[in-house]
Amino acid sequence: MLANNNQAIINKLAKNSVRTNKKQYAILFVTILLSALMLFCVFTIGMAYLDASRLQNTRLNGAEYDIATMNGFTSEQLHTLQQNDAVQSVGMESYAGSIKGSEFDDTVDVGLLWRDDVFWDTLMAPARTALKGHYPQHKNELMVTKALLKACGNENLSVGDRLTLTYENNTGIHTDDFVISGLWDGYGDTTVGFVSKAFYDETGYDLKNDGILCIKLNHNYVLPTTLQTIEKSLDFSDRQIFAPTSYIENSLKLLFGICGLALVICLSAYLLIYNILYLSVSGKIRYYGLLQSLGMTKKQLVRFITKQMLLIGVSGIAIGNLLGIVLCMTCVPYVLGVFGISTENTALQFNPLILMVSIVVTGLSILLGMRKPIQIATRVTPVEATKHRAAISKGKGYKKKKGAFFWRMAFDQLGKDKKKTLVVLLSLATSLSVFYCLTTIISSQGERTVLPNYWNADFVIQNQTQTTEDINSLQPAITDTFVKDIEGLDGIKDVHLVEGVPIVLPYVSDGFSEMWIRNYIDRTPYLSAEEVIADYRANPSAYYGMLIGIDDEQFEYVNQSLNHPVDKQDFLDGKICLVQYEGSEIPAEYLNQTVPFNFQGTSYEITVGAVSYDTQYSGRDIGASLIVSQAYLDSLTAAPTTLDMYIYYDKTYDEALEKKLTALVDNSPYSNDLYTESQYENMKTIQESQGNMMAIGTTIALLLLLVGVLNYANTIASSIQNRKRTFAVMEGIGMSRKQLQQLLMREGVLYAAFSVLMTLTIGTAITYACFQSMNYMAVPFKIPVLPLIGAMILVLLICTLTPVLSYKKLAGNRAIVERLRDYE
Amino acid sequence: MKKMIVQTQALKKYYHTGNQTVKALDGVDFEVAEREFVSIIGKSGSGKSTLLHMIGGLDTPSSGTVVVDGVNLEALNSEQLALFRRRKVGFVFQQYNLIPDLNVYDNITFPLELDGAPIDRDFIQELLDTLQLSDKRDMLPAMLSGGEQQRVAIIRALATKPAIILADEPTGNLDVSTSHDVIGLLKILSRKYQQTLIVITHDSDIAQMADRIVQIEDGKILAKGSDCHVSE
Amino acid sequence: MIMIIFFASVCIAGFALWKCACLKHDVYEYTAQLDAAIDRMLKNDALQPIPYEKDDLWGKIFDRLVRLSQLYTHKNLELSEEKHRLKELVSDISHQTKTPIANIKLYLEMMEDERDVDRNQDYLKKMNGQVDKLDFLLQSMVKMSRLETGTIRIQKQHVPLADTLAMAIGQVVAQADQKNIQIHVQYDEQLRLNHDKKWTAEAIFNILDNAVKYTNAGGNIHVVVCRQELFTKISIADTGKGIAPERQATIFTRFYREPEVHDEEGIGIGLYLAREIITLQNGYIEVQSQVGRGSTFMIYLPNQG
Repeated sequence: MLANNNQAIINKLAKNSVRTNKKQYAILFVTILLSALMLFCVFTIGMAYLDASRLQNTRLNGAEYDIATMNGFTSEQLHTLQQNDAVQSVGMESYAGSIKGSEFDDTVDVGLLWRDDVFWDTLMAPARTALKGHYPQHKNELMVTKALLKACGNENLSVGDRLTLTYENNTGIHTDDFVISGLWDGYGDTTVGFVSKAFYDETGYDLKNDGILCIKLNHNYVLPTTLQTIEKSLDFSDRQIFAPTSYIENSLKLLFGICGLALVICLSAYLLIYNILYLSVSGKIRYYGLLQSLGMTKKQLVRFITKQMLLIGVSGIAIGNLLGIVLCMTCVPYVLGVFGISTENTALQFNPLILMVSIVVTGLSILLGMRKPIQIATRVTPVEATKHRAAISKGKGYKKKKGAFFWRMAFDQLGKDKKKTLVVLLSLATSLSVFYCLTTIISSQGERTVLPNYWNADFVIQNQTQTTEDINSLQPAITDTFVKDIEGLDGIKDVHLVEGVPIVLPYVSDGFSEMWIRNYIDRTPYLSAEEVIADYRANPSAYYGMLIGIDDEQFEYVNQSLNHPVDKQDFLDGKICLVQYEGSEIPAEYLNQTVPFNFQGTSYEITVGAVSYDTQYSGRDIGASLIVSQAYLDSLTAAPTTLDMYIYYDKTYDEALEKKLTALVDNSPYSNDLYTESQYENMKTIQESQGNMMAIGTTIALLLLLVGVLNYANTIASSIQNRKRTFAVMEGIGMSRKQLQQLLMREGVLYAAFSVLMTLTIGTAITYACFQSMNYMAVPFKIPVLPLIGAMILVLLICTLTPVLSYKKLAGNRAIVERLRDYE
Repeated sequence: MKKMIVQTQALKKYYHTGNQTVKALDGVDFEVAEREFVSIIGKSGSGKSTLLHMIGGLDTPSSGTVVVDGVNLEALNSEQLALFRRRKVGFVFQQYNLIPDLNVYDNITFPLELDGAPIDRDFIQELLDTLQLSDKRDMLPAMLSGGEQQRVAIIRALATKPAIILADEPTGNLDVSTSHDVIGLLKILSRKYQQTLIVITHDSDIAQMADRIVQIEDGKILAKGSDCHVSE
Repeated sequence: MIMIIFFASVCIAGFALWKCACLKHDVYEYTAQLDAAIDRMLKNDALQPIPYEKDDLWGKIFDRLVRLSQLYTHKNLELSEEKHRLKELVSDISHQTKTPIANIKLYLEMMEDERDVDRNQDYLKKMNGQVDKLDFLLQSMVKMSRLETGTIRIQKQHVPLADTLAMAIGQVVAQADQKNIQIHVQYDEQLRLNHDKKWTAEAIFNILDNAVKYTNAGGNIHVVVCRQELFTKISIADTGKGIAPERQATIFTRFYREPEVHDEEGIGIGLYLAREIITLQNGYIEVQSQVGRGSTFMIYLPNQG
């Protein structure tokens, strides 16, 4: 069958139809363009974010893996993992002691690790940037990095060179010659040396206790249950730890999030396309009837409507995606930066797959939106062309009930075409809900990232001259003049000093010091208890502790954070002290222990009143840090060293003051050993990134809102167009223009109210679900009230003003009679 | 013996609205000869429009047959009916005749273009001249007066040189003298191009212009009017 | 990658080949159908319209062929009708001329026998009347045959309609005066119309002539010119005896004569001629009449064209 060559007229008609209905099609075009653009951007940014976080994860860990298990593994567990279908590869590693010194440097502290071939060849490969030589095969071979060599005191060594190292492992401290078998560079911990299996076998560590498994899964996105199944299959003991990386835990959620957002975009695009086409088609019943009576077949009719959408759709999708490409190429690095992912070296490229997906998805939502309207159009019979315009529908008689009359009319109007109303409401509610959801998540994201400073100081300066072994290492980095200078600055409200002195805690069998040192040995497995204790006995000053004096106000702050607050008077009197403890569980036996200590040759005693987890005041000493009152400290020494300064401003975030302070610190001779922490700096970086995230989220939400509002405006405009005769009649029988506007405004208010209601119910539910799925930090669910109310007011305004304005435009100043006469 | 171009037999059309059945056509036997000008008169709701729709293949009968130019419309599906309308029938309706998106000329050639048929430009220009629309050929329908729109519809109905022209109250919106002119034109042109013309009207003056008047009431043909054929 | 490209190009090539084969088949089929149809037309069979199958090329072409075939049949029919009409015309002419010629012959014979000069004078007068009738008849015949054979060229000019009217009315004024019939004319002097002055005047004259003929003495004739949107209407209303409705459509046929006026002068081609003239100018004539109250003839001439 040779097809009839009659396509040209359909194209022409479609083109003309688009041209004469410019406004309607412009809305459609903008919608499709926006959806294509948003889809492309959401997919590109999302995928880039996922890729970048995978890469970041890999670089952070120094290897590409999804799960790590720690504290040893059994061969059965290894076997189980290797048999698991979800697992791609399993790498093994273990701690193999540490380098304590080299021929070039006596004080080295560098770890040694053994990794198996899988780990080295497969998992580590993506994180490596350079490799010379091979992984150690023999006992005296070593794989190093430049950084490690530098730590060992000679970075000029290369592959093949010899190196004498003193190292410590479970069997003690040894010194040996090593040959550098390889030199690598890359991401992750680069100050670690890798040793051979032969070396490892002699270190006294075994995989059962110290082995670490790093597991790479087959897929980048896995369900939480997959992780759980793997964990269950391993049947871990209490000691063993199963630690999935944050990437693998969140990637699927993120992927779902991206798809969800894409779905919402599609949904609102679909709703708009559906609605506009539905309105347009149902307003053109006679038109289609006429076309058919002139001999247009249904096929041609379908082609006619499809062609119009094709014109709009193809150009919309093309331009939208093109804009998306341009936007993403320029904006994605910026956006990823905002989300806290460094894009350095990230190869961000245009992904044709994403383009295809976004085209297909947009196209699909257009097709879906078109389906029903086309059905309606094809159901039109040619007889419709001859039918006269339907008379004004009679409607139900309004019972007169003063006041409520207009509301009832407005209500009835909404109820007339329930489906259309629902579509519009859904469209508005979707946009509002997305805004709601995004603002909630973004504002809570802020809460998760902004960790307030200890004790909310505006500026903290810490003295970090201390070293672990040397009791005399503490330097007066914060001198009195320095403190005076700072206090003299304008705008300083308050300065709190933390002062301290190193103290020697003599070894007392079964006393506090023994408990403390045993606790320390437990946490440092390679140390032999006997040796350490013997060393302690012999040389207690190497295990020195600190006496730290804090003032009243600081005490109040610390005290209220304790599980069992202590008596203030006892503390001030120097009867009790607080012990800083870094472990997880408070050893009950510490409490009420009497702690003897020597300071400048004199012996003192103090009782432990409480144990504090706060590590704010802790130094680098091995011995205990005892927190006492400043008065007590002053009673012991006239010249304690200033450890910390907590500075408070008159005006928070005082930029000028901040600059002066920073300058003072920088000019101090100890500036390298002064650690500063500024509330202002934190605020600035966090707020900046938060603000940007908010901006991005708001932009997406506003674009969606735009789509929703376009949908609403279009529906209202055409509904008013359809009802213009009714309005003319109403005016004709004595309704004033003002009353009519009131009626229209009430309809708008109803639309706004219902969509807000939907947002508050369904939207809240969705937001809550989204929020909880991303809520790793157990931040309480909090609604950002202000932006939400703002958005709602905006919707309300748009909803009420649109009908009034569009009626004004329609009716203009034309006489009622004139308007009554309109029939098309 | 004249050839009958339209023949209906026991044509019935019932509409069901709720529990009521409206008999729009209740057994109509109706014949129109080739090149005849027949006017159908009747009150509104008498079924005259329905009859015209049946003949034009716009609507399908409940029972009975319609044969137009040797083709039984009953046997046609909706696509075939569309082709039938495209090639055999020219319609002129009371109002809303033109496609608002196309200009006058495109409106006229629309049925031809739908069929991919060659366009006889001289013929259309001649029609435009005759109907005094030459200077408006590029205008959109919205810019024309009611009478002008109706004239465009007539040209469109003639442009395909269809066998039958069906006009349903073609002058409903026009004033008396223009109505007369429009029907006169239809009459002249249909005669000139040897077409059959069936006009529905409620205006007896206009009905008088036909070769034959058929009256319909309550879905039935009342009496065969003055059946006086004019031989040329 | 290369495999994919290869596979894709194989697919595309295969599809193109298949499409090509389909097209070939379609073209052959189409040609065969066309051949068959033309064959039938050559054999002088009328093509029967069949229900349209689909919106395809063949359906369209077949429809056109059917039209062509119908046109031929119709043309053939028309030709035979024309022949028939010519035969009628000849017989009509012979019939119409028979009477006056027979009369003249009779008078001549009578004159041969008659020696009375007065009587002969009387016969001559009567013969003269018959010759006039013959002359009128022949002139009408000539006009008609020129019309029929298309030798009349309608030459349209943009001239005032008033002149045309004056020309037509001028020819009937004398007769009207004789019967004491008043002719009222109402027209716009400015009105110009693109029409053939001579022949239009002839048509109007024919109608006016009829009106004068069928209106009793003391009656009135109203001529009104009115410009409408598309046509200019010239209505000629008389107060004559009117035309019965059943005869209204037949009065424009050739040689039609009202049954009760056979004694009056005329052969019944005036109205026929008038209609032909107006139709040739893309106009039309209508008549409205009630028996006993007069008739109105309306000439519609297009404003343009």
